[in-house]
Amino acid sequence: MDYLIEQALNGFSIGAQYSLLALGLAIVFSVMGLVNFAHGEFIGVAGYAMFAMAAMGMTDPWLLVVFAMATVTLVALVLERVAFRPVRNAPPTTGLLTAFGVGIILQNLFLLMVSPRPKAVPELSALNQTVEVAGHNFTILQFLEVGVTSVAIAGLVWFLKGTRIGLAMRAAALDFTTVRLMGMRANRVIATAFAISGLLASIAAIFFIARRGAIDPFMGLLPVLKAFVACVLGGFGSLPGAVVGGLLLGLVEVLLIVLLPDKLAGLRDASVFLIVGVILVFRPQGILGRRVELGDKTA
Amino acid sequence: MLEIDGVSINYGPVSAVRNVSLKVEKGEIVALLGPNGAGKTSLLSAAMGLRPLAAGSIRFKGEDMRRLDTESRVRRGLTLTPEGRKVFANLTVLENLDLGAATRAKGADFHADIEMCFELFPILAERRHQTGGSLSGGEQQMLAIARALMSRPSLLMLDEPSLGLAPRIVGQIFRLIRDLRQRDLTILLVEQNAHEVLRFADRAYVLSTGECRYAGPAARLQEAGALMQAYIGELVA
Repeated sequence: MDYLIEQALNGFSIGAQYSLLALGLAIVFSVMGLVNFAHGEFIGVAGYAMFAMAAMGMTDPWLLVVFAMATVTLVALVLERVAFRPVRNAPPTTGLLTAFGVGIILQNLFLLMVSPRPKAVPELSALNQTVEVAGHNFTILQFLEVGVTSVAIAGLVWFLKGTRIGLAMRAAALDFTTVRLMGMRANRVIATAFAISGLLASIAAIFFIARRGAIDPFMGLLPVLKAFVACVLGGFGSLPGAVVGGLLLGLVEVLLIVLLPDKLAGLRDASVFLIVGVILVFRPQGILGRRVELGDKTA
Repeated sequence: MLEIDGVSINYGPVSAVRNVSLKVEKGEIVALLGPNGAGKTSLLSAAMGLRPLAAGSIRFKGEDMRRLDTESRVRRGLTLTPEGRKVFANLTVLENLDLGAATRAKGADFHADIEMCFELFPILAERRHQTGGSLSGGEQQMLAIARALMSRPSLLMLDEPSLGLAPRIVGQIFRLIRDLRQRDLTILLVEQNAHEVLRFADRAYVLSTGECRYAGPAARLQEAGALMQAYIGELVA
């Protein structure tokens, strides 16, 4: 029982990370129809930003966290301006390929400028300290992950409902042309979407790096894939769906860690995707997604 | 106020509008009539900068619009209520109106304008917290007009406001449009519902298959057969 409660929080905290990443993907997708597969590289950007700061002698964890978040947000804005704006009106595949290209360039920048091998970023490792709450063992990090993610989501909800640019982003998800007819600048709406996706990714990245204590050039690959799956699971383009999908994915993963015997531990990711596949058979539009009529292809 | 001069618009190899000139003076209600596919919507889209011009020029308040993006045109007082209303279905009535004022800061006059819209369309006040998608067609059209008014336009372009509405509602909408003239608004009204509109428009243009077939007083088009002739063009003449 103890073990179960501890693992439940673990599931929520891992799910929270996926939710943050999935939200970023979903926000950009909803306003411009782009699946930004370079999104995972924001984790790398955060990691290497912290690594560079630490190498220059600044090891205050708070300073590193703030610096990482600012850098990722800035990089997201620069990528939008330099890479994605020129292909905004191109067919969706062009945007997708651009995203892959951006991802590969960033990975290779980390690789060339730092090292192809993992580097230690131990500054945040103190967060993995165990604390005892009501007889259960948790880490500070787990509470932070759940708490900060909740605050971030609440902040996002406020932004989308309470600010005009937030309203524009929601409206643009359905009809960008009419948003422009209101006199809202398309560039501003899309740049804001990227900035938010970067900010959310940087929070996820900090937790991710705190858990691992190390960075490597390809560390963003698996998380972005998981975030993508979370989006599909929740209903692609739906923001609440991204959160639900992320949490569900985290819980399923942890559940499998608990249930699978040690010998089969290697099958964890495969089992996760199998379960996701089964869910999608019954709800192809995702949990909160709307059903899109694609036409009958059975002949 | 608005001068469209020798404008042509192409969709790829297909020409939608050929050499059309149109003028709207301050305080006028001008009707732009014509059958489906005549190029009316294309012309309005081009005026808003959503469609590139193949030829010709568009001036608003004396300023060349060709270099300005859509957003800047709205800032200068040009507004379009698009065909099909295009109310933001997932946003509430209030949020729709809020976005309509996107070009202005949310100061004291913002709330005064919201109140003005609710005065003009009392039903919207009742529905203020409902989503745009939950409104009826007539209510959506009212919301679309109110939303356009929130940008404080000097020229309001309406693309088929009567589309898909019950006749009783259409009369109501047209009465409202007529009343807007008293609010220092100039109106360019695109319609298929020609007979109704000609009763209150000052001047009219008729587009057919991308060409201008009539330009002149609205009253003259009301004469027997004149409208038919303008629609069909040379065939009858």
